[in-house]
Amino acid sequence: MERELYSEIILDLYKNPPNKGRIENYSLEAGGGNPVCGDHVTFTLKIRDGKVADIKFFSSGCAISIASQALLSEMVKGKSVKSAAKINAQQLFEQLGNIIQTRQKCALLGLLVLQEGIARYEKNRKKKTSVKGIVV
Amino acid sequence: MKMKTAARDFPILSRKINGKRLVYLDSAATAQKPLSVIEAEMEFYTKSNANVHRGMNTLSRMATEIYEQAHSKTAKFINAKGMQEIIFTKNTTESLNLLAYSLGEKLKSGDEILLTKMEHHANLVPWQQLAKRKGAVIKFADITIDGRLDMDGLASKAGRRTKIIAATGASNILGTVNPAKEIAKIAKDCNACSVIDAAQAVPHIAIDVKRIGCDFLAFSAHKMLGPTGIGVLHGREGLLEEMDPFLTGGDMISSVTLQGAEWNVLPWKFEAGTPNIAGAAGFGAAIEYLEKTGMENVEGHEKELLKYALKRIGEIENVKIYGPAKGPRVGVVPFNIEGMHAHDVSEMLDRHGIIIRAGNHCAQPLMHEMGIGGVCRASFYIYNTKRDIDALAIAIGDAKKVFGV
Repeated sequence: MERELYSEIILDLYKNPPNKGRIENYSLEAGGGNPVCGDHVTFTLKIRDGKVADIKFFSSGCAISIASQALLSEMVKGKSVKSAAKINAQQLFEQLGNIIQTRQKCALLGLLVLQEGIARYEKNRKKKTSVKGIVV
Repeated sequence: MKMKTAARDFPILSRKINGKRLVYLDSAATAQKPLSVIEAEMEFYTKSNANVHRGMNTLSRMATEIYEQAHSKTAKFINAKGMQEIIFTKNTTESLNLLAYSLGEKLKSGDEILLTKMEHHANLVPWQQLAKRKGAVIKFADITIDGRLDMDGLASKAGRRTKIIAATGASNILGTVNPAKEIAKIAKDCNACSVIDAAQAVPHIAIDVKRIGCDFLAFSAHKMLGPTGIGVLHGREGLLEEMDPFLTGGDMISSVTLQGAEWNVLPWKFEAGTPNIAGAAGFGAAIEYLEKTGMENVEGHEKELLKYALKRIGEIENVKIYGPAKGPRVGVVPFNIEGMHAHDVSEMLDRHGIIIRAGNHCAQPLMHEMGIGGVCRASFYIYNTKRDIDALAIAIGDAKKVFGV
């Protein structure tokens, strides 16, 4: 039987997303979106000793993109920045359930924005970094 | 013809989607095809397939006759002077690009092109590119809060420097029907050419280019029951004579030497290369189907469905409907469910076998103007019934329940 696209986990994360908001005193701010569908997201991270001490995000988009961003924020919180940069699409899809091909872009929006932000933060020698307008 | 039974003529409407009866509410994107259109294409390939305007043989004569007849039928359908004013293109987009090149060639730096904020990207980007090439200036007529064209504003922005006024005949998102006749008059008064993007108008309302008085009118076969890959540019004969061709090559010339070429007569001057002949056969059948139905019946049927849908969908809590409350409007219902993204709504409706469109509908500036990121759009045609709208209402209710909004 075909698995439900809007799984319990997606609907739960969409209705009550953890880590919603913005950290004013951030180490990294990464914002961007997909101009074709109009979805966009901004992550703010507090990074201490190479670890994501705190992360928040605010976004506008479909249930799949928001649920995926919420899940991603939970996955990286407390972990090293290096491990956050290594999360791949498959790991996200496995946790979210059945993401059909036409909606995979929605699920990957947050990951691509966050990882581009981390790359820029590393390049900036871990100084306070703000990247906006990342096009996915 | 009875509209209640029109659906029977469309084979696809008897299939199921996710185990449910297919409810097709996306005709503004592309219309479904009646059996007669599908058979016309098949008959062409099984009985008359050959290239047109080439060769003295039975098959080529048959193919040429079918192809030319489709031009004559189109001319009659929109009351153009004749076949010479009907150019077949790939689609509305290509028709408008043809104009932006061939008509736009005469533009000079500082000349103005007047558009509206309601345009599909097809009637915006080709003009933007033209303006870049020529150093021309683009101005935009505003839209009112309720989604109509600000006609006073449009008139005041037209002037001595205006060379082209291009506007949509009917909005692909709001369904607003614009006063094409008035737009053509404003253009005429300032010696500008008028261009009507009629992709959403010709399939749904009777269009008479002589009555409108426009210089150019563009539309696509696939939105009016015909095949994809064939579109129309209607142009006033005198203007088409003056214009240079857009695409060049075979069939569009009368004589060629190593040094140059002379152009063929209208409309062939603008139809380079082997055209979509089977598409023209299908398009001819689509026009016949619409003529048999009667455009006044098409219009009446859609009006009734629109009225029913605005009431039925409008009374659902937390559903916002966009578009003009007053004035003429084709069968398009743009809406959003509060707290749900348009893509999620579309995906949820699909589970009920309901096909709608969701997103920015190739009109990003209009969406920006409306202050929304995306919108759901249900659009109707002759094969839809009130039962389809009831199904939509029920599915919207279910989607709200699943998403808890």
